[in-house]
Amino acid sequence: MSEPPELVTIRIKVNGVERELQVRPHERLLDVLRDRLHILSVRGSCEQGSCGLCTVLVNGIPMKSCMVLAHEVDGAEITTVEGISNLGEITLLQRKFIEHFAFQCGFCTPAFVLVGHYLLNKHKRLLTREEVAEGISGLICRCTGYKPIIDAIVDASREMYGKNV
Amino acid sequence: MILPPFKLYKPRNIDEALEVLEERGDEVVVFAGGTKIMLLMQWGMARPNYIMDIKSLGLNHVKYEDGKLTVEAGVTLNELIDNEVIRERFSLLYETIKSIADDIIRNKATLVGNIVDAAPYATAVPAFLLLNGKAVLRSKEGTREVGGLDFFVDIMKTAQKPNELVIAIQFDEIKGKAKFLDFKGDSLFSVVNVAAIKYSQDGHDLVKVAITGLTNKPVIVDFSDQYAESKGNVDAFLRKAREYIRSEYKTEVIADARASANYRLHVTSVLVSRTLEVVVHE
Amino acid sequence: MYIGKSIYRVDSLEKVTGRALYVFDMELPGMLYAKLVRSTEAHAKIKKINIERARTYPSVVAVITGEQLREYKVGIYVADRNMLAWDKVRFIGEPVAAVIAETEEAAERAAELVDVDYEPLPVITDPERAFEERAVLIHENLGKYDYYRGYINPIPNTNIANKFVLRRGNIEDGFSKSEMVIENNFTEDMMNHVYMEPMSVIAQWLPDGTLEIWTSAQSPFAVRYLTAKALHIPESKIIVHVPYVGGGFGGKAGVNFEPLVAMLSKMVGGRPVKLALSRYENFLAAPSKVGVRAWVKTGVTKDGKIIAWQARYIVDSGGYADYAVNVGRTMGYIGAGVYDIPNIYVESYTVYTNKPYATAFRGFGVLEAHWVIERQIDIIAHKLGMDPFELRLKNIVRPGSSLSMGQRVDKGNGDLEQCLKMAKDLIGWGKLGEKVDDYTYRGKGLALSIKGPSVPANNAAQAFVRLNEDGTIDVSIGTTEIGQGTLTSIVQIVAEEFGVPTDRVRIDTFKDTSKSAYTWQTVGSRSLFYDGNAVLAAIADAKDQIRKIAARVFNVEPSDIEIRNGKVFARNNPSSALDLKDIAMGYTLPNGNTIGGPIMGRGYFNRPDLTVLNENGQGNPFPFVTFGAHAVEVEIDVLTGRVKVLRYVTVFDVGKAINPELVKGQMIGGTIMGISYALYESLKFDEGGALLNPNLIDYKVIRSNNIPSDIITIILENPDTYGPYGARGIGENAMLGVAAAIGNAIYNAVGVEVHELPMTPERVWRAIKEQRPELLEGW
Repeated sequence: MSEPPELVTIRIKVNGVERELQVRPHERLLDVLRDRLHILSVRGSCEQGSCGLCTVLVNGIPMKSCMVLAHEVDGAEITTVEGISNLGEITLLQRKFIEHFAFQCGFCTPAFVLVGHYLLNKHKRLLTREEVAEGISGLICRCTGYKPIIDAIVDASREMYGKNV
Repeated sequence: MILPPFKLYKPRNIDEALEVLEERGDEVVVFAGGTKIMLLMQWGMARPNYIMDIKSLGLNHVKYEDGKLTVEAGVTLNELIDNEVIRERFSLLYETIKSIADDIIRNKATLVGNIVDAAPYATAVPAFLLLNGKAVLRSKEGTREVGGLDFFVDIMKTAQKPNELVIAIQFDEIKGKAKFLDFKGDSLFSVVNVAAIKYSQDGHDLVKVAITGLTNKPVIVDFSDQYAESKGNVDAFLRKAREYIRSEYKTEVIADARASANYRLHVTSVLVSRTLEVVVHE
Repeated sequence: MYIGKSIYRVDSLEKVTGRALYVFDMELPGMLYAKLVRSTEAHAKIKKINIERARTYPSVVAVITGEQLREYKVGIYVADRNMLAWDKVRFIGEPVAAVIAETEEAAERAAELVDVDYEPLPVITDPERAFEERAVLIHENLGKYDYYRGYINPIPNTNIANKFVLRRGNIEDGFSKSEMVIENNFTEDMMNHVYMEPMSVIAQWLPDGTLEIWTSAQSPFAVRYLTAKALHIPESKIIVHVPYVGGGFGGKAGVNFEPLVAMLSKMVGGRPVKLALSRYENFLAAPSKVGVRAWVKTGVTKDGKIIAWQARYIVDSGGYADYAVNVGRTMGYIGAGVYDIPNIYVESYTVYTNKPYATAFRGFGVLEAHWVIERQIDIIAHKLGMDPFELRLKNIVRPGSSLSMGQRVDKGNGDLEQCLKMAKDLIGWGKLGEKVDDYTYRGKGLALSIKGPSVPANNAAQAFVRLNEDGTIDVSIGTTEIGQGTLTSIVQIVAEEFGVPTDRVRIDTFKDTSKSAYTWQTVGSRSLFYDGNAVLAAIADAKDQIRKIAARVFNVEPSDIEIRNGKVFARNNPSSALDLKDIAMGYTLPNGNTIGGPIMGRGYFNRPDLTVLNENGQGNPFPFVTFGAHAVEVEIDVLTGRVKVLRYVTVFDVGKAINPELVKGQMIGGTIMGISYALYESLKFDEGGALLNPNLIDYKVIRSNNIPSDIITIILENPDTYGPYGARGIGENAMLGVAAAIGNAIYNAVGVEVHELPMTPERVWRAIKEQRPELLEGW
């Protein structure tokens, strides 16, 4: 039986830009994003799938990139926080994060913004505090106590999709 | 940290996958969601020589036919949560899956993976046991099915042979009442997982409980006799059930950093009582 | 105009777009990567380190062991630590060697190839045993170390890194007059900061011998000072840079790996070397929070007057003294917290054990002391048959009395009684807890808290304020942005004082010790108080310069000049005003002559009246204190022992909320971290000193679906005598009383006293089984 190849070629679209990369089997999506593509908002803060700061959207679905091998996303579209808005603009959700003081040290903020972005797009309606709390429970924030983050996401859903309910 | 290097097989069909397992089965780790092996590698507890990714084998179907549910190896937990059949006809599975990890991990982790890892804290094993779960194992020699406690040989070890691939897991639709509860102390992993079920068969009421996390291997307890004897006195029945758990597993109960033996035994009896209370309630 | 407004944070756009820079994310050209080889023994002599296989691994540039660095000792208060263990190791995880390579992967693989031969020594993990033990010494040369004399008292030939004693009145007399004496023991497990950005350092040497460091650290000037000391080089040869810090919580307060990485860089010819810890390494090799064994004995009269308070703390510092010796000291001198007691005797012993070492943590000894104090107060109330609220009201310090270490309290410290009453009212204080169903009980608990910064009497802050040609203003302070947001409040102060919009003021969010204004350290909730006052002094200086120039322009006295709304004018002729930009560079006359020159104000702040503590621990140590009250409602499932926090009320007298949302942010953040500390977080060690849960799966940190649905934050504003606009610190305070409030609520709910932190389900269940077994009958 022959040995499998040492390198695997993957084609991925990252924040709208097509890339072709040769990766070794044990390289994680986290490693490719940070070390090869220098997208530093994606952070390996626990590297064991528990803190969630490495979360990115893979074909629009949140995944913890420290738990994804690079070869697994061949053909996929990857979105990080850099890809949800254009330079000079911010999304309504990002504005809500600012208005609600939903960050302090900011190290976890890209992950929470991405998951908030996903929840808004998935449900397209007013969100309850419980479902937001559940939806972001895979992420750790050590500074804010989560309450302002939940406030920001719920408020964004209200402004985007629902009036007073 | 960087993962330890390994070689990667990415078979394009099941035959290719089985070839690899035939040749190298004991050196190959099968990878669908991969959440377990990724964690073991990060913890320095595993350094596989080969990983075989089975996501290109098309094993991502959920089939419901004639009262049987088949969940193939590549189906993720969130895909099951979003599936109407699961929500409406397999509430025990639905409840169970919602307790596993978090919403983001559930986009990657698979149900089959959770069961075949045979970890003491494996959340989905009690539901597997109570719904007559069968693992469908395929190798170059053919296909066989192994179900129930026979599938769990030892801690982290199942009846799956090195040259076999778990293609899918089958569950029976059981019309009755079922309940799942887990207990997580100060860990993200469960201390203990308990499922209970009550259904009728040939005019009798069957009441069963399945547990993981209590002892090294999963446990099924048939409480049908005690239930019948209690003649509708629920409090007495539950008390008997709790006493049974406490005495029967006193010596086998696991002790670890997540819970002492005493506490684990106690919490198990509490969860058994609580799940039974729900399923026997008229 | 801007004071009291919740202006959006100045770092907002960077942080929500992922553009904020942290050392963890930094890369310099030509940078090398360092990985640590860590000890697998808790206490052992190092016999031999085999580095050949690592040294010859591809891409490896060098392998350094402790032998090469043995002359250098590091320590904040006691110089007890080698940068890399040399003769022996003192905890599992202690760095014994470092591999430097071209890539992170190569460094990691090569590190696995380093082989160390150890000769095991007896292991001590229990702090009470360490306290008694005289034969097994973790630091046998304790008597020979340099240490901060007059402040820290190590006891040679023991495992005691610091002994501190607080005495007030006459304790024997106090007990002899007491009508009831209540004694209790309390414990607290070691805990981890879990700041989200793991510890990261980059160091390089410039050709002229200057050492340049980038570090995720709270206190760049302390890093500079302590690194200079450790490496025997002048401070002027060191530049420390700190961009945004991804959380600190005291864990990055002092000096950590900077001297080591500096030496690693030196040994590869000055090339930049980066050390960024993984989370696993952060649990083992970076310092954690102290553990505590406490004993307290209180004497009271039958009508509830507390007249004697005695306590002994054994503070577990792990393998090295680091900042923990001062944490232990503070635990001692905070004495009986907010209570006015005539006779006090507290001993605090910070001891070495063979576990990862401890450092500062949010609350700094006052946190740990409050678990003991506020629980003991409630237990006293139960024994006297008194309402815990009433007992507190009867014994709290009031203006005119003094704290345990002798510092006087007056109106300028805020209104503790108002905090207590509000908390009690808002939680709906009643009688015994209610029973929701057969096995679910609810209860309410109260706690009070006090803290001031635990700082050297002469600690100071400096500020620069500089006008730009366009009339905008630059301000520089020494405080780092670790999440607390002080920088935004400072911008508001400058904007307010000059009367310009906040977006015309720029603050240096990143620190550079060769350019930024100085502040002692970003710790102790001191930043707004010290740096805010320094900025006010700098602004006054700048205004002086402006007035002198404008006086000549308008031909009036400098005292006749007003500076308001960004304009400068003579009071008797406001319509003829200059813009700030017309004076920013001095004033140029039509003929080209110039009056004055570019305006730059500088100022400093300290409290010249602070004193050190005398041999009885008495003195005037706190530049300010912040009082607060905590109230909580919990629900307990007695069958599993699981405690859920339903509602939380947190009331603090911050003197002045310059930015209310930032204050609220600290109150909520501190409360939630407090709940996590109270219920979940514990570093678990086996008898051999191995850490069993060095990861975020088995070390549980509170998540979004565990927080109470109801958190009420109340900000009181009774101004501080010395604070900028009357403002006091808040960063640590909201966490201090949480654990005790929850412990007290558990008693209110089910009549069970819990004495151990964290109050895990298993511990609560055990306490119920022992104290009220009838609640678990049949289970």
